[in-house]
Amino acid sequence: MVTVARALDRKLLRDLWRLRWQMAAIALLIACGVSVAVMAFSTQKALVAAERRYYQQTRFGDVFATATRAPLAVATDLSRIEGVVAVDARALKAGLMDVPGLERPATVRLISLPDDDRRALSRMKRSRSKPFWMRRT
Amino acid sequence: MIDERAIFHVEGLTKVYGTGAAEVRALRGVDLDVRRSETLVLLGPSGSGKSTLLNILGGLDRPTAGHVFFHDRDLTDASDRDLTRYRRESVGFIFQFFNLIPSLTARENVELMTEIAHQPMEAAKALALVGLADRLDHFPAQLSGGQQQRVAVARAIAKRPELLFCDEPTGSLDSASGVHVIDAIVNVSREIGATVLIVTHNAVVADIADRVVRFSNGSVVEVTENTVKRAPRELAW
Repeated sequence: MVTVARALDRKLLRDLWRLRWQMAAIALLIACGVSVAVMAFSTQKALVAAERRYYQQTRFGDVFATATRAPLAVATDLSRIEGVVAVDARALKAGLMDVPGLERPATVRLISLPDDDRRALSRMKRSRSKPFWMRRT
Repeated sequence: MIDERAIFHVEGLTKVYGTGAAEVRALRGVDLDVRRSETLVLLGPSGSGKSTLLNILGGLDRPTAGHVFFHDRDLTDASDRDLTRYRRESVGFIFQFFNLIPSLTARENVELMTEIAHQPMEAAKALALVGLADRLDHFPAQLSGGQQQRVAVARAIAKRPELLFCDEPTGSLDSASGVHVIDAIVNVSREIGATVLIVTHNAVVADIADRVVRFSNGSVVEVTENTVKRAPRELAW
């Protein structure tokens, strides 16, 4: 049986040699496909890592809840619940505000800032970009 | 009554393809004895059942009914494994369209067979027997149709088979090439003492046979003995 392989091996090698350009084209195509796949997976991994890093840096909250006229002591009670790492209480108010450059009043959502931003949840991320109303003028 | 010289004894062989309206009866109860070392030509028009009989005798197909005894062994009862061994050890096939491997030389095509045979002759010797000693390292594409068919003959006989089955061996060849091929088949079968069955619709080829079996519509209509055989070189069509 070992000798049978000799003639068949020769056939295989010659057939492969005859098809070398087709094989090269197929290999190139596979390499391109693999490259695209690697690129896509790398991008997705980088995006997920960036998202996680951003949430860590800004201490983004896991759970959000609203209450009307609740005393600040409730926040202290909530922080005692097992598994809660941090609680941050903010005052929220929606309203209208005159904005220079806008003909009509803008709808705004006002959020109070904590005294110590380093210990706060959902910390502010300051960027250099101008507010949208300044970009329009 | 069984002929004592018979290597094959065929009884009531029937082969039906398809069912219902599409049913085709290729063989209709064929009875035949094939004698040891004889050259038998199966003659008949296309569709008369001669190739079907050859395929069943060669273990390539199974009959719908009837029996084929080879050395008193019923091939119709044989398992697939037994039929494979039978084909491998006892039968050499030559087909109309050569069936050579294009990427192997003439010698390598024959070696493909000799490498799995028990006591084969050397590939070069087999090719020399069919007059291709100077074409050992030629690829099929570098050979004429007649030469390719002679390589196929060399491949079939290199394992020294007891039976040599030829299905329209000259069907795709011109007269001169066909004569060369028939000459090679007759000479090498004599050399190794094989029993030869040649299927053809060419009546001229029948002149080289010991006996001629004429087929029509799935049945044997006549079996004749050639009292005077012609040498293959004398044939022309």
